[in-house]
Amino acid sequence: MNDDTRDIESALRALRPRRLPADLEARLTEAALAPRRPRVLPFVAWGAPLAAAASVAFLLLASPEDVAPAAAPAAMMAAAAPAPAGLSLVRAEQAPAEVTLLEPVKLAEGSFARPIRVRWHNAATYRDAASGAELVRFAPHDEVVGLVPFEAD
Amino acid sequence: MTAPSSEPADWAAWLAENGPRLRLVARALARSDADADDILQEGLVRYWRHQRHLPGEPNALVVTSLRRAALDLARQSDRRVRREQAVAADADLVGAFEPPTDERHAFLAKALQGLPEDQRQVVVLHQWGGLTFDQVGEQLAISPNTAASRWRYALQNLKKTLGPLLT
Repeated sequence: MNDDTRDIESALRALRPRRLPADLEARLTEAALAPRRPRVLPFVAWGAPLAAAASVAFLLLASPEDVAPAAAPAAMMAAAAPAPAGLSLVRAEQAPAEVTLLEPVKLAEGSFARPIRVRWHNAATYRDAASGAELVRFAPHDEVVGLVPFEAD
Repeated sequence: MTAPSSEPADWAAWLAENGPRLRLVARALARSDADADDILQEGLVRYWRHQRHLPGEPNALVVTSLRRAALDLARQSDRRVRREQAVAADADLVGAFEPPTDERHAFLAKALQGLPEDQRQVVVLHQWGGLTFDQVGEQLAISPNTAASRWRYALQNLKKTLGPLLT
């Protein structure tokens, strides 16, 4: 503290912030204590229904034995991949996604967030019509797809 | 300021203790009284609901939350238009203090309002925000030395304005 400005500092300390107006206090209290809606990122909110819809579409398009892999939507068939020579696709499955919130991380701007990890797998079954032998192509996926602002409790 | 407990019932006590001074901080970060109260609500609620158990110094966390709320508000285009229309009217600091019982304090509050914005923000963040100069520097993206300099200039300006009244 500088002697020249000690009196000003002392006067500043004597200035007391005014008590909050009752209406503002009520507004803050209502907002702070209102029941929480679960905070879900758009990806999570839409991800499950979309994944289910995609799985159904994949199964509908790919189940018949005479359906070639190329007949299914490209995004779906990317998991199944072209049928190996001499084999035809007989079944394609996509497991429900398993969504996990990882431990909080500190972001560059100082806030905290929890990464969202999504794991699922696709399984495509091919059959050799002549011998009846089946080949299952299993494709696991494990991705961090986004961040959820961290909630302490 | 100590970190509030997780009991919702503690909200009222925490708000009574910290709300008034944090409203002053919100006013220092805002361009209008209405914006200041919106910033206060957004910042305090965000802190209370999501950040109060985070590691770190609680006071710095809640001021950071207020600053982020102020930045969010500033990004909203409709708000920006309204703010530009009211650019001459900074948030009222004088009305955010208890009515002074001493004439000198009334003049001091007015002189504070009249400080350049960069000095006024440092004074409010340091004096009522309870931040160190290091923390003030982080909030305003300036060095701690610059924050300390602005504090000194502000005190000198206030003294120049109020000099005769203080003797």
